[in-house]
Amino acid sequence: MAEVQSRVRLSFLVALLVGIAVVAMVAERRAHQRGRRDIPVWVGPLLDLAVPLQKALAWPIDSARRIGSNYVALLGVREENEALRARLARLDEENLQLREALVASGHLERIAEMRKDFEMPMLPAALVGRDVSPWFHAALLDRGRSDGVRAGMPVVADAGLAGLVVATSHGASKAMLLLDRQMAIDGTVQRSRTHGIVRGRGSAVLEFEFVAREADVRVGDRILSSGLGGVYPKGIRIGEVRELLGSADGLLGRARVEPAVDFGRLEQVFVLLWRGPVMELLYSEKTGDLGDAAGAAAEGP
Amino acid sequence: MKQAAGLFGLGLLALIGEAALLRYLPVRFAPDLGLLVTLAFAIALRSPLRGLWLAAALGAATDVYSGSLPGQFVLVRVILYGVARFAAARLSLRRVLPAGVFAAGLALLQAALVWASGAFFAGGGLAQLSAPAGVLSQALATALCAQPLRIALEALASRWQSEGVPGPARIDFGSAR
Repeated sequence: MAEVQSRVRLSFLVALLVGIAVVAMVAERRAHQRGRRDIPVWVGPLLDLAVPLQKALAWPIDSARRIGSNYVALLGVREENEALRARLARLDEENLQLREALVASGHLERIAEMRKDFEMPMLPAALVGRDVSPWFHAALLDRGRSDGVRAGMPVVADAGLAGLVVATSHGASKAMLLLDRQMAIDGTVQRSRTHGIVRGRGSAVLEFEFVAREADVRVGDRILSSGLGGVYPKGIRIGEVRELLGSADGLLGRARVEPAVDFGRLEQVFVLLWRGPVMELLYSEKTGDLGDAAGAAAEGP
Repeated sequence: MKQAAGLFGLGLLALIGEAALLRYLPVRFAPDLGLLVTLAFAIALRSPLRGLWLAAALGAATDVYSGSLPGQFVLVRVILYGVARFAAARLSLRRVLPAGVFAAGLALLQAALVWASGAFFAGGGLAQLSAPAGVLSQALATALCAQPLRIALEALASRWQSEGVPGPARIDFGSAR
């Protein structure tokens, strides 16, 4: 009798857990069409707990690496210093000439005004943890809601676009990196202004999809964010075209893109304290049915 | 209760520690500690209910630290726990070779389940297994660590058991064969 009871309880528990998991996945799917909220209450403490532990675990390795890299950096410092001084002098001269030209054309004041519009505050953050599963590319950052970070804010590194914040807790946030298969960014070729979508493939390279007809994409072209998807600001470097893959149907062209950011060595990033209009709608407190807005936006996770 | 909390804490610590170390080590060379802890629950814990709860809770924690869909690893780990429990009752998973081979098989099954659940629930967004070679090498790394982790976890579980509350969650090292 006890064994039968135990089997019934076990079956009930399995059904309950499977049901909860399925409902959670379906709810996440629906959140792409209706306004999404930030993480559930119980997730926040788990994210907050991870940051100090991961920092403590990484501290000995980081310290050893820092000492090693400082020593290596000192070896060639004199030659590098001379080369940088020469470059600085050259850039100073170039800068002076350009300013002269701008003042002469009366554009300097207008450009200074425009720059105010484009500047956005950035918050430095350390990447403290990587995704434990090989199929996904998420990362844990050591800045959270208390620092002003919100879900939907872009994450950049010194070399270019790195990803998007998808969840925040009090002192931590989870970012989805560009490499993840769930990521898509509206991009443009810097040289020819050809538009397309850059997609993560779950591997170390990205894929650029564009309308093949009249497109001008070449190996070596630099891809920037276009700002059209309403998620990322315009003009952030995404990567460089490495290979043209041709078009299977004659409509869509595809190219393999090497990301500007070296994701294998990514440690320090910046969170742009800015949310694009689509993310503002998706994560806003007063969310209605946003099916059209979410469907129209090609970008995001 | 003390034992369950201790085992969950240990699994969570393994998960957090692994995420930190993956900053320096490519994921394909790292064992899947969450999976190994689930396997150890199936072998070491007498109560299937407690093991199932722990496997699901650890799956939920994996979902928090990973880019997976919420609930995806809960579903996968519940299935894997069932498979591991079934196998543990019939095979000798306490020996090095069977434990290693079974852990590698479980890692490959997990890859298939993540792929299938992603394809079904994310509308094809996760449908392509992008790095089969990476999955294979991670399965190998998982196999190599299966036995040491199982022994460590069993030792801790029995210690907590002897200090903890008596009841259905007793560890019986002989009965899981």
